[in-house]
Amino acid sequence: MSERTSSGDWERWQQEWRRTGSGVAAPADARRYIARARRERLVARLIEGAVAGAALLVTAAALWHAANPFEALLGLVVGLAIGALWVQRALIREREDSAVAASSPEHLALLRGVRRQDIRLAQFIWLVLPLELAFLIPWWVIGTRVHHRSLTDVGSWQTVWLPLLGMLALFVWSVRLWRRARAEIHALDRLREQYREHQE
Amino acid sequence: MPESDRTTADAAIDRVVRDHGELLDRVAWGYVDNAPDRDDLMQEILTALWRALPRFRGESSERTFVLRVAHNRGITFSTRRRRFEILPDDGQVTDPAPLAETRLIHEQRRDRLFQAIRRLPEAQRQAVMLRLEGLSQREIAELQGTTETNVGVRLARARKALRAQLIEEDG
Repeated sequence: MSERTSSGDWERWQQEWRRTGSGVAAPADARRYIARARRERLVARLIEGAVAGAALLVTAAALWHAANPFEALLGLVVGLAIGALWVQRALIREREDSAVAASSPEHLALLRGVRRQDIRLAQFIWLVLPLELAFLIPWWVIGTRVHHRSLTDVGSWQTVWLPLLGMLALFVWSVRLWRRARAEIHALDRLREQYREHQE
Repeated sequence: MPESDRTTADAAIDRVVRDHGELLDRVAWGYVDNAPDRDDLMQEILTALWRALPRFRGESSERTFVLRVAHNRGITFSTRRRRFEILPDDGQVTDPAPLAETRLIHEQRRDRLFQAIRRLPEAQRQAVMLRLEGLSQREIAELQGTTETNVGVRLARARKALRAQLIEEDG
């Protein structure tokens, strides 16, 4: 194709391209979009905060009744790990935001790094949950005996079943996070390959 | 975000929407093919801009900065939801009112162009959209983190693919 045909194609397509675009309608619409996004983010943060807070409370309650220094140490490790998980999650979010004005390959590289962090976060959760179980199970068994509780008592629900359900929910969430992050890494690698094509 | 930054961001986003609203709409349609996805992507783009604009120090033109953020969000969005169904022949705009024949032809052409652009590989698609927005090869190269020569290759391949698709559909 000649240079003139090429320039003709671009001009024609540019005219068609520029005919599109209804805009965001009005700044008020944009504010509405942003307010909705901020609400969604706030809700996600509140849920994460509530989950981390509840996990820390249960751990602290169990730590209060630790039978020996080993259990106390284990409880402390679990508590610190939960705190670290929460902080790591917040940092991942911040890192994702910071890359938005980079060049596209840098943006993709950073996103890949963020998704790798998601995978490590999921794996960390899989490490913390058994540790937490190892720490809580003796507390549950001894607590049930000492307080003569049945498995359906309100106390059992508060100290055993609800934390167990919370741990199960966290496990399911971590599996979904892991799967989604792996799928996104695969897609990002494919995209990065496209941006590397033609590189000299 | 502190209150003063929030006020600055609100003012900046109002200006961006006024000055570049149509451009943002075109970029969004370059990555998605249906109205609900377009709305979701637009929300992500505007939120990203709202956060990023207070940090903008004029290293490039505001338009280039806006395009950079919008494309990066488009890429992120498309890695999460890759589903480019073929659009129905009547295009993506559902307008119950009867259209004048010329307008219909224009809209069909435009929709075919968008479909063809969406089918391009990511790097080519982005280069084409930026070219159609009037960016120079140097500006595109900067945004894509590559050389002008590579951008030239991408644009040449994209043009060939677009011509082939559009001619095939016309024929």
